[in-house]
Amino acid sequence: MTARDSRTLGSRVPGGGRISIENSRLTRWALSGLGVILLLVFWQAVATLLGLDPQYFPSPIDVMDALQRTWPTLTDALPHTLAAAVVGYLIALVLSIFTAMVLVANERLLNALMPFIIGVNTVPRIALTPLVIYWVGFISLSATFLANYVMAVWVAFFPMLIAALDGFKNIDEATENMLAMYGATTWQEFKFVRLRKGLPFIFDGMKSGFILAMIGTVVGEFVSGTFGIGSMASSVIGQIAIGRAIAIVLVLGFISSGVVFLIYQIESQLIFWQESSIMGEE
Amino acid sequence: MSNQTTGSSQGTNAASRESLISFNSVDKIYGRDSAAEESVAALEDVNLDIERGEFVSVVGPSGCGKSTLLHMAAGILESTNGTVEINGIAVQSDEHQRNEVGLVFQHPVALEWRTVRKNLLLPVQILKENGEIEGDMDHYRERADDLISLVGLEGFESSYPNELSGGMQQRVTLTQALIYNPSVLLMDEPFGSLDAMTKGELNLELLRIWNETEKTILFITHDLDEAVFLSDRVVVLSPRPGQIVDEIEIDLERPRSEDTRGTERFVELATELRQHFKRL
Amino acid sequence: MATASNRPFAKARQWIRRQIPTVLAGALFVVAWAVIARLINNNRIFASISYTISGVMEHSTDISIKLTETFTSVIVAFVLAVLLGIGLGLIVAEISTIRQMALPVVIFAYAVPHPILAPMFIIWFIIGGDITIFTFTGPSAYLFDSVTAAQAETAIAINGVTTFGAWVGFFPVFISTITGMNSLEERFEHFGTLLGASRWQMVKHFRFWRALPNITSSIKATVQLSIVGVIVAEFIASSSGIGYEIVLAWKTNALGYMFGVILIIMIGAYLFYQIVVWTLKVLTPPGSV
Ligand SMILES: Nc1ncnc2c1ncn2[C@@H]1O[C@H](COP(=O)(O)OP(=O)(O)O)[C@@H](O)[C@H]1O
Ligand SMILES: [Mg+2]
Repeated sequence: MTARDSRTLGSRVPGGGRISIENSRLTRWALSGLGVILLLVFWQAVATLLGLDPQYFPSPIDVMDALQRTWPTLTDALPHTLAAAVVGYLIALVLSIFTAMVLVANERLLNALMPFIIGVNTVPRIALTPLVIYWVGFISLSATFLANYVMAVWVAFFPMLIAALDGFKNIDEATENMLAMYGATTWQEFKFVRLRKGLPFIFDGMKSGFILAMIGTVVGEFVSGTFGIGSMASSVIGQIAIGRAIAIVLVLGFISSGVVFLIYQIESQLIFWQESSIMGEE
Repeated sequence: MSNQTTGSSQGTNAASRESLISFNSVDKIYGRDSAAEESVAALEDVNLDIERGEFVSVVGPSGCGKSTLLHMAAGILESTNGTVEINGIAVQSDEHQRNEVGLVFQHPVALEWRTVRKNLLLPVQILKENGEIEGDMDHYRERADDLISLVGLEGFESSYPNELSGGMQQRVTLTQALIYNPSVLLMDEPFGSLDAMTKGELNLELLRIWNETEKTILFITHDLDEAVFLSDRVVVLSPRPGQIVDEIEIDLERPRSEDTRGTERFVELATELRQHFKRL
Repeated sequence: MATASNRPFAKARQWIRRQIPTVLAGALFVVAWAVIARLINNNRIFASISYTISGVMEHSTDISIKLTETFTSVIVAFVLAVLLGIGLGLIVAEISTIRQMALPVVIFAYAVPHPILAPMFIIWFIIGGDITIFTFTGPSAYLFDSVTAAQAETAIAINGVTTFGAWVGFFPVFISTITGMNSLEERFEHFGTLLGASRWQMVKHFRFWRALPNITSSIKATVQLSIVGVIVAEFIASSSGIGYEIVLAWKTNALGYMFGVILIIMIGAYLFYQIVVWTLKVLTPPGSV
């Protein structure tokens, strides 16, 4: 069976790894739907039958109720959070690809900077949140919200950079020899091979990068308290309003999964020569 | 540069007069500059001249430096000592003409996102952009179609590499090397990963193409029968560091066919070659 | 030629050689810090090395107590994440119906920016109370005369901070267990069938070992993630751990203290990572890490 066939059939080539799927597409969708429904029914049943206090252990219906009540505030807050996350994400994306290209083209520079890049990528960058807010606040107290943008870039940039580096370096010896043989220039190497070979890696980075940008923004809002979903969620702690907390999680989760799914769709359209996966190659 | 005049006008030493490819006292030592690794002497004092139109095979145990030898002729690797010349021009010099040399790799190097046709035109794109070859793209497109039928890939022009079998992918790699019409073809165990049937088929096809296009071929293999079947001359390399220890003229009649493999002379030559190998 | 007696020596030399880039990067970091601090020359914008050291010294007992608390939480979170990740991963990988049913939830849980869940975890433990497994007197009581045993008391507990840390760290292990288990090569599958191996035997002898390299590499990611989870939870669960100390430093504009605490977290994270990698190397067959 050729890769094309297996793609149109929606089945997997054996030995592919990832979460493998052997049934027909319809069964899979049905099972997935059933899973969600079962979860909701089970949750509702437990809450109702045990007579749990809805303030502490809300049922799905209570959560929907809470969602409805917080909806106006939520829609006010969302644009602030999304703007910071999306703008920060795009900046980090462009910056990471550009930096990776420069570094791969200059191997010396790459070797010199690699320990630093790996180092920054392995430490908990999120711990710098208060410092970032402090610095941004130092420049202009009225623009503290900009710290959330900076946090999105700071958290998302390095993993995306490493993904792009891995992608651009993902070139086998035979192809490398071929390029040397035809005397391809560095730019030609990128144009004809590296940019394409790097795509699957870059897309994997883009998927987790978006989630990371959201994480950076939300934590920024947690700490700085600027208006947004993050500060809304942290204020719920004092009010012990668990229903609202879950409602906020659902909204942000759907937006985030939606974006990740969108990126995945673009990826599988663009990279037709190999299989893509939603959660990347982990 | 005109090919015919090379020999007569600037022949200073006898060896390079007729030879198209020549290795002059070539050594290759890997990892000499980097202190971290130990250095590996891959080739030692290799002298080899290949005439225009000749089909020469190099055989030797694995790891003896066959690929190294070829990569130096292709300009991918630099020799540690000595020079490799094509048409009397050092491969490493600026005057080296890339369009004179084609390389068929051991494994297919077709890019997965390009169709067969586009893969075939990749070398042209790169070489043209860099001013190494002339001619307009349409000329090469026509040539691509000719080559596709030459190697029997009709109907697969718009297929992607992962829709092709290993043998077909290797045909694509072969056409990639032929597209800009180099006079030298370097082949590194091109059929090594194929099954015996496909290999035999492609052997015949290679001879046919060689005959039609009058290429000079330097062919690397570890299959002794294949070497005897294809070549005018077989060169035997010793284990590492690779040195030329033997050369055997293959005086089998041409054109050769599947029947050639059954002739007495073929068996004789193959046996002789095996003996040489045993002595290593 | 290497004899048995000088082989460890050669190994040690090799190890030192491999550390050179890290040490160099560290040295470069210190130099860059000193140079930038000199250029800016304002401890309110960029704390110099000496200002940072004095900030740390001033709060040394606080830092010591909070750091113990945080890293105890990190260890609890990390252990929970790894155990739950492997356990649930094994179950989900084995039963394809569950796998398919859980898929939407798994994708949702993967894609949701995890900090948004932290308030939920914290509220639940405010309501239900922490589950303390046991308490011990932290090292701070022995290190500083001024710290009493009661102040240094540290709890190994299941609470909002540790469960959230575990949640954040759980995913890579969970996913890679499933992935690894399902990438067993077909020939082993056939081999097992040939021998009549039961499902559990397949897991025990083949699938788990196939997944091990995936799991160990994901555990490395979990190290960082459980630290991130714990610190994020501490940011918002007031008055706990080193995470809250950074926020406090920010609120009091104590930049030297803030620099110091962040640096200590980074160094702690690095050491914890190295310890985990080393432990994995010792515990698993060669080539798994
Ligand atoms: N880039 C390299 N660095 C160091 N050693 C190499 C490198 N490439 C090849 N070698 C060594 O040189 C020897 C010859 O390699 P090669 O030419 O590939 O052999 P063959 O093609 O005959 O199998 C081998 O022993 C190989 O290990
Ligand atoms: Mg070889």
